[in-house]
Amino acid sequence: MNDDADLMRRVAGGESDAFRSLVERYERTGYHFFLRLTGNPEDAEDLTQELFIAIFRSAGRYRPDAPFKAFFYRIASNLSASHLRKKRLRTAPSIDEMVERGFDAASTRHEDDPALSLGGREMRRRYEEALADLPRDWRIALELRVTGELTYEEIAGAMGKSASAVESILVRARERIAEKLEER
Amino acid sequence: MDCRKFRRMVSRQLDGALDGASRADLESHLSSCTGCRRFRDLSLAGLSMHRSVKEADPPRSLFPSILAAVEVGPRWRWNGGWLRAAVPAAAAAAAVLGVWVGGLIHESYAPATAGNQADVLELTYLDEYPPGSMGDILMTSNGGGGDEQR
Repeated sequence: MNDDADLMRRVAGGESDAFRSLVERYERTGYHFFLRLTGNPEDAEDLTQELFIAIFRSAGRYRPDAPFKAFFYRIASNLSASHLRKKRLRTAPSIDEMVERGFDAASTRHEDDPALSLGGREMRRRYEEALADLPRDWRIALELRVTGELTYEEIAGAMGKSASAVESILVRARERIAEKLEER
Repeated sequence: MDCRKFRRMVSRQLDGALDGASRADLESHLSSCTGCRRFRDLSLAGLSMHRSVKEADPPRSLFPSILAAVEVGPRWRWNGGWLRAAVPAAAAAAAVLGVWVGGLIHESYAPATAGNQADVLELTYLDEYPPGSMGDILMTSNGGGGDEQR
């Protein structure tokens, strides 16, 4: 049994120390995931709290043979979908917010391509707008893949879709983003 | 030329899920298809930007607020077989104790006996004013007519 599975077994048994360790280990991951999706620190904070409360309450239903990461992101995805449905967030975070959150300008410069060397800020603004304009499920799938680093199968499990459907979503999301990035 | 198939391969390549044979096919296609090459470059740029976002520090208040939100949970959860048996047993014990204590109280406040009834009747002396009291003085100053007035 791996560390996470053991922690979850102890959480299910009501050990508060185990829950504390689990929060310490994954609080940052959850917060970052929600911040990427919502672009709003307060919402990200609320959702992270809801996430851990849900994990605590459903610890007894966790199966140790499945990766904890998949369990974690399944709950996170459901919370995100519900939140985005309620708020209908279509607004991209401002570039200043993105910079504040730590966008690394130097790592995204493509000097050899006119379209990609627009400058870090403009390119990022377009990228974040394109992300924000994606349908809800597409955004979540992309975030699970890129930020959560889940496999297609794990994303499928988290979102209640087939792996093939997840792959199709990711292709369409990337095509949509590429179109937005090319718009002049 | 089926560009959809190759764009799916590009996406799979970005996700590190493209096998070697497919990669050779893809490279061959990209060398002759400007549109797919463009798609690959822009998708790669997008992935690079996405990954360049550093993890933000959660607010310090988050950790304690999460713990506080579930603090009472472990102590009161029905998570052990012994607890399921212990709680009804404790309830039964409390009921027996309640009946016993109730019996004791009932005995202490039992209906008055004949002797007690006599004592209660003796309280009629309270209708009279004790010697030296203001009532007695007033009655005396009225010429002892108190008995007649009462």
